[in-house]
Amino acid sequence: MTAAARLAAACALVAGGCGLGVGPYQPRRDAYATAGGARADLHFDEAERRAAHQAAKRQRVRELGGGETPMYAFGGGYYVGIKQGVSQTRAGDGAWSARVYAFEVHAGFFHAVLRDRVVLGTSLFAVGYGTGDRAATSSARYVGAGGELAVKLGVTDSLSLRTAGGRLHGRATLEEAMVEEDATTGAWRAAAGLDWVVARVHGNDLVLTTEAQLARTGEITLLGQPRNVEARALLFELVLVGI
Amino acid sequence: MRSSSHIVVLVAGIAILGLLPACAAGFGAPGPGAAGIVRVKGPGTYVEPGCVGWCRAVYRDGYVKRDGPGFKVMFGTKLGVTDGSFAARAATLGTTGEPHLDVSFVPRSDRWAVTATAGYLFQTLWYDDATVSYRGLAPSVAFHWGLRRRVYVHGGLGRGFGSLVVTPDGAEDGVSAGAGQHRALAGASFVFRRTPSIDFALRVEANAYTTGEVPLGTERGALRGWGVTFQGLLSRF
Repeated sequence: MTAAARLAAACALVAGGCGLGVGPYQPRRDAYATAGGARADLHFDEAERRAAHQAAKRQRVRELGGGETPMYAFGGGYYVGIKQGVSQTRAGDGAWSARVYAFEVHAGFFHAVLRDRVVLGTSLFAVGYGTGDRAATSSARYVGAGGELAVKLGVTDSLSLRTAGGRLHGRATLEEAMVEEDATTGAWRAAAGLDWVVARVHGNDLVLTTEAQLARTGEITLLGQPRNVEARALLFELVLVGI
Repeated sequence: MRSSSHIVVLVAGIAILGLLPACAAGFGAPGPGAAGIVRVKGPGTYVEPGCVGWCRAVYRDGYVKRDGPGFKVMFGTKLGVTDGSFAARAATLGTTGEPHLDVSFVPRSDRWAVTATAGYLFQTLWYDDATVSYRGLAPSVAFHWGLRRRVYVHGGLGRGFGSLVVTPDGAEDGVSAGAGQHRALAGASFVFRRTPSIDFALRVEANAYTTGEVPLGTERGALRGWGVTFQGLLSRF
């Protein structure tokens, strides 16, 4: 690996794997997008934050078209970020490739339901599996973009389980004996993982997200044979969530 | 392998670079639904009587106000994709960008707003043998209607005063001609984040456009198509 490649990899590790968001990223965090004001001395106290949070939620205003609505409180939120980790790919019933770097750029919208016990969400993403595997003489890659629906269930105040399923569209590439062919195709993807609130920074959650993914294309003809391309990945992300 | 890596980097780069510039910032909520919200300007902080800690802030005269009617200003850039065609060429995908300055008027009723936009339009369509682009001033007017406090829709009309350029692949200069453009706009805005000092909203807008018949080299025809742009809106009070 050249120095430039190492530098690029280091930059990718630092810049990648991070996300920013606002709102109910985690269930059971009472994560409504509110603002209870801020103290000039930047002193943070969890009890005070909760009191301010609840006070802000009580502020109400006339809704357009009748009724009332919270002035600031809102059960929805959004986030953007980059997951990174490792992936493996294979074509048909072939062997899984070596583990290689993979990452995903994504943006999503979430909403808390059932009194903040469950968070539902939807995300758009662009993902690459099986890239950078230069040593293998036979390999499969899949690069695509798509969307998914996610459900997060709170286990404790700081831990939640997340599952997601979605559809993506992209390009599968197979390389065997120095011959390469690609085909555009759709794929289904399932993901499951854990979200863990590792720290709270001035009232914002710092959440470590880990996720296992499995993607599978439909049957496509590559290098003369009909086959599916599969990818599996283990990705992580550190998300700073303003609540 | 190398080409695939480049594709991933390209996709990621476009996604990141696409998210960052597609933002706008301004003063005052640019649409309906924000009147009556307590806004804080300066060191005054919103307060809940009886609260302690973070709630123990004080309304200071001159710093805290109720959001209300008036003129709002916003500037930023819309970014998106377009599906268009020129003359006898088939429709193809391209990109669109529009740096713009908005001035909105929100009345006391808070149910509607009118926005006048002065923008500069960049549209590019990529063909196998050439690039077709349109650039020019693009003023527009839109009417916003508030469905809820956090959701409003809008529709509008616009004009383009620019030039159409066809640049063959490999050539440095293309053939250009002045062309007026008619545009129709429709979209929706959603306020994700509302605090006493900011509103953060996402706006998605669809557009349809057509120019008049323009002779360009051996071709003659109109640039027609439609597209979608998106934008994050940060309002400061």
